[in-house]
Amino acid sequence: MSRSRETRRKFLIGAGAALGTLAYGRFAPAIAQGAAGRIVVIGGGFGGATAAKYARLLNPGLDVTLVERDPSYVTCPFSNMVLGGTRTLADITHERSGLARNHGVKLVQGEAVGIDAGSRQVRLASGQTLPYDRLLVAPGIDIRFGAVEGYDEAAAELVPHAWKAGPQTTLLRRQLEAMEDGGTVIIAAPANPFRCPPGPYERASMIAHYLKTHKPRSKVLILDAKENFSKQGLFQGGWEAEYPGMIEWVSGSAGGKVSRVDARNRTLATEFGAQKGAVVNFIPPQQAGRIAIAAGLADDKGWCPVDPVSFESKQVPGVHVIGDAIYAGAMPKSGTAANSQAKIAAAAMVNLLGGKAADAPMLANTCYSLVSPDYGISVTGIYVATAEGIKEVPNSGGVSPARAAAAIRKQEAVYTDAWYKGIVADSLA
Amino acid sequence: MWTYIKPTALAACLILSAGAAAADAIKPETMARNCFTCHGTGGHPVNGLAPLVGIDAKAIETSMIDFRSDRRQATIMNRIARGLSEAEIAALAQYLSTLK
Ligand SMILES: Cc1cc2nc3c(=O)[nH]c(=O)nc-3n(C[C@H](O)[C@H](O)[C@H](O)COP(=O)(O)OP(=O)(O)OC[C@H]3O[C@@H](n4cnc5c(N)ncnc54)[C@H](O)[C@@H]3O)c2cc1C
Repeated sequence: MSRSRETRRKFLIGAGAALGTLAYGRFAPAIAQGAAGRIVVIGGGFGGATAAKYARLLNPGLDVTLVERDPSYVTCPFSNMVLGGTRTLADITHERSGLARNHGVKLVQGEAVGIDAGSRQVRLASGQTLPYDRLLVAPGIDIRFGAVEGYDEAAAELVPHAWKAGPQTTLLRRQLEAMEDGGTVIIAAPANPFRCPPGPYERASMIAHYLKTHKPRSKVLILDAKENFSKQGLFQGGWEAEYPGMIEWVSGSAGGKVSRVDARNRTLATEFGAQKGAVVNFIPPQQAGRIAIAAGLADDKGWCPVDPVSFESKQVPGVHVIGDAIYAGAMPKSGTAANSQAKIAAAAMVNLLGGKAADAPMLANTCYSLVSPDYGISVTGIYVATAEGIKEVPNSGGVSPARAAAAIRKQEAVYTDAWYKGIVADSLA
Repeated sequence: MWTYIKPTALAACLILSAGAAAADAIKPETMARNCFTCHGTGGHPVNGLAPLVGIDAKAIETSMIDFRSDRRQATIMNRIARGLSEAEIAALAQYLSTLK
């Protein structure tokens, strides 16, 4: 079978939004006539789970298999609330069985270790192989251990990253509980790009909430590799209101950039000297999940370039990539973005399997953050595909107002909770 | 034989026909799936937010247009509604009104 590929693109710039469509000449295969085709999805997070579900919703004739390493999904969203003590790990742990029960997705627990795009098969660590007609890879991120001197897997047991929810979250929570009043909690935030741009600052907020209630003489010090951060004005305004004098943020140029981690002494080296914390949370540099790197889906910076219309890999044909693992233009690495991309990629795979071009996408992101349990803030955006990639629709989206009544912040905190329940159900149930 | 795939540089195969007049409009169902993240798959929310089913197209369109112009105030819907053109809102509202 010929592997040559012909891709055409037409585009239109109009009304501030540019739309793209792709037509795939070669993908009008036998499976389009009659039998519906096989989709394999690697990774059952907000990206992969949603894609598997929506592929079946869009075409119940498809055979959809979801490969996931972990028995249940511990969400990163709301893991900061576990650190703050207002949620438990059980509250953020979810089953994927609804995907099978409600949507007929075949669930396979295992780790994908290889992809053969020539014969279109995925190999699992168990040795099992799964054939596919279209593959979707949504492995999230992996930590770049060793990228910062002194920070390897062993160091993470002393100085947790807690940037994958689960045992790391529990470890950091235990350290916070064990800390004496009057200590300093250091959070080191990485340079862009990384998973969840507002995440480190929501974390500082939730830790401050815990400290304010239980260890009021303690402080939070954020050492940042960056010069500014997501929803910065809103966070800093919120900190002044809720935790005056408790949270200090140091930008990269003012000594926030960490060059070395001494995990045993809970000390971080910066250009301006060493900082020792009672508890240290080091959020390290990241890259696309290992399988994406192994399969040649990522570039030399460790992220996956994709077509902005179909989310098909620009490096490996027949394989789509979504979520934290990709370059998504203006979209951040968020659960909402992964859920939105999943629906576009699912529809694209369904179309392509049926010999049709992918539809023009519209994508959305919403990231809520809690400054305190009753103080929510948000950033949102609507995105379209343009010839230059995924762009935000001009004059739309943006952040919560800089000044707002307490009732508005409270309402956004209620919506933070609603968002969580909603995305968990839309992705997994 | 099984091997890990190596990075394959695809031939630059995108042919951009700049200025081409016709492109598909964004389908209303494509837009609507973004609503489902919060407002529930198929518009059936599980979290107490407004359902999107069983609502008259005109009512949905009016709300979204009012959010878009700030005539009606919400926390986040104003910012979201501004991401859609009036024509897109009309098509979206029409589609949502057909959901069961
Ligand atoms: C502290 C924190 C707070 C956050 N808060 C928010 C928030 O409020 N809102 C928001 O939108 N986003 C939030 N995020 C970001 C969000 O968690 C991610 O953007 C989202 O999880 C990305 O989804 P994904 O599907 O790409 O990856 P993931 O959710 O990481 O899912 C990937 C899945 O793939 C599996 N996997 C990986 N490799 C393999 C393999 N080889 N074989 C089998 N399975 C594999 C993994 O086990 C995992 O289940 C937060 C993140 C953090 C760290």
